Amino acid sequence: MCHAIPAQVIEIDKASDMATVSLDGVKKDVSLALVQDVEIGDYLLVHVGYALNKVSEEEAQRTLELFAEMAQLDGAQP
Amino acid sequence: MGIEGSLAINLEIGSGHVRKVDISSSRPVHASRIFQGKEIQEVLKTVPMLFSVCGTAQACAGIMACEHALGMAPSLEIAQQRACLVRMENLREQLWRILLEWPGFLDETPDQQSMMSALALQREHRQLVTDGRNPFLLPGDGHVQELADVRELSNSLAELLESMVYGILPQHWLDITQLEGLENWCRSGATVAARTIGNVLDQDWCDLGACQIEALPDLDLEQLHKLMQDDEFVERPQWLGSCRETTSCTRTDSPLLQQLRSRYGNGLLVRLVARLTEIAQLSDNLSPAISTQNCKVEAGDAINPGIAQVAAARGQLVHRLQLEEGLVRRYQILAPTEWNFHPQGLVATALATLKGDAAMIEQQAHLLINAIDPCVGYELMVN
Repeated sequence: MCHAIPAQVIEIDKASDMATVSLDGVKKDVSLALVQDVEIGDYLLVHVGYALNKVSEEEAQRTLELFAEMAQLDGAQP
Repeated sequence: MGIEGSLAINLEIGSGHVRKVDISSSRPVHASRIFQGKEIQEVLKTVPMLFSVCGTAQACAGIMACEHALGMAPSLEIAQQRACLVRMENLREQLWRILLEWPGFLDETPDQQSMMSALALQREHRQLVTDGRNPFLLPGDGHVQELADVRELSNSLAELLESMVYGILPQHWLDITQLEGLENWCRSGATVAARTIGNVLDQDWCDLGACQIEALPDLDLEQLHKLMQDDEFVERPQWLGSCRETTSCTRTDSPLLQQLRSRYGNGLLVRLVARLTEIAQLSDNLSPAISTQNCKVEAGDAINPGIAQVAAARGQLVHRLQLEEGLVRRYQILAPTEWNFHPQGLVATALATLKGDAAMIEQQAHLLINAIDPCVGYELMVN
């Protein structure tokens, strides 16, 4: 619910203002229209095709660990 | 499917109407289980990181549920700060639909530049209201921030809304009380919002998806506690045995909406106009010095578990948590999408009313789903 996932920028297309991000090895194209000064290697919070904002690598890793934990738990018995 | 999950909406059509609607969800509705066994302060910091799309509403519900469980209450000033931050987030989320998604229904380009300006104003509002502090942690640091004067920011926002949404000042748009006035406003075609509503009127789609699903009432907390003991309720909630709606449409009212509801029920036009109405109303209510109606101040009763409700962008959000010796024993989140996208709920019932050929039904279905607004991506299949 209401999740935006951190993903690392691996490619930027300045002409279209789009970036390719990597999330757990899966590549996705996202719009950079709502964030500024994005560089390759940055972490972005991504939601339904848009990068919402930049996050630090530390915060991204912490959040991704939580999502990994969440994925393991969801569907398990309470 | 990403780890954020998604909705799969399948429409089976035949003889010019929808024969069957099937909605399935891969949303991680029990994601909050990861909080179990963790310290409450850590959980409160984590909630907005994990649920970042409506992170302010989620953080607000989290701290309020925690305070309830601990028998605490925030100061009025802190409660006011929280409430106005949630209102600003709601405004941003409603604007997102209009600026970035409505243009797609008219084959126009999303207005990303205006959305960026709105995001910048939201950041400025947060800084102004909180002075850089976090009002969603426990315990407070004792600092009482003087209630911020947001008049200048409100004026900037009103100007932005005038240019990008209404074509007139939002408070003047609220003066439209009759369908005729709305039609006149649409004829100006000045903004994507006016053109979208005009298109709905021209296509005679005003009552599209109108159905008899009732609004979720104010929830009785004792009954909610009982129902939430069952995890299935959190996955597919019903109230008093029936599906309910909780959206911006069910909590927003105005003379214009009253007239439109009497003509078109809860159809598409009412949903779109409710969104515009809520933005205009919120834009005049961004000061922390006004009521805390969307985040009620309630003293906790120290009776575990704690529970709190917040009017989030997409509807009523509930957090419920149980503490044991400073650790979270159980944490549950009931989100509005589970009410509205229940397999027999609002969206399923609204989509079942659609008529036409496959292309027409698909176009109308996208409009309705967007108007009700899931907080995740969705895939629509029409067969």
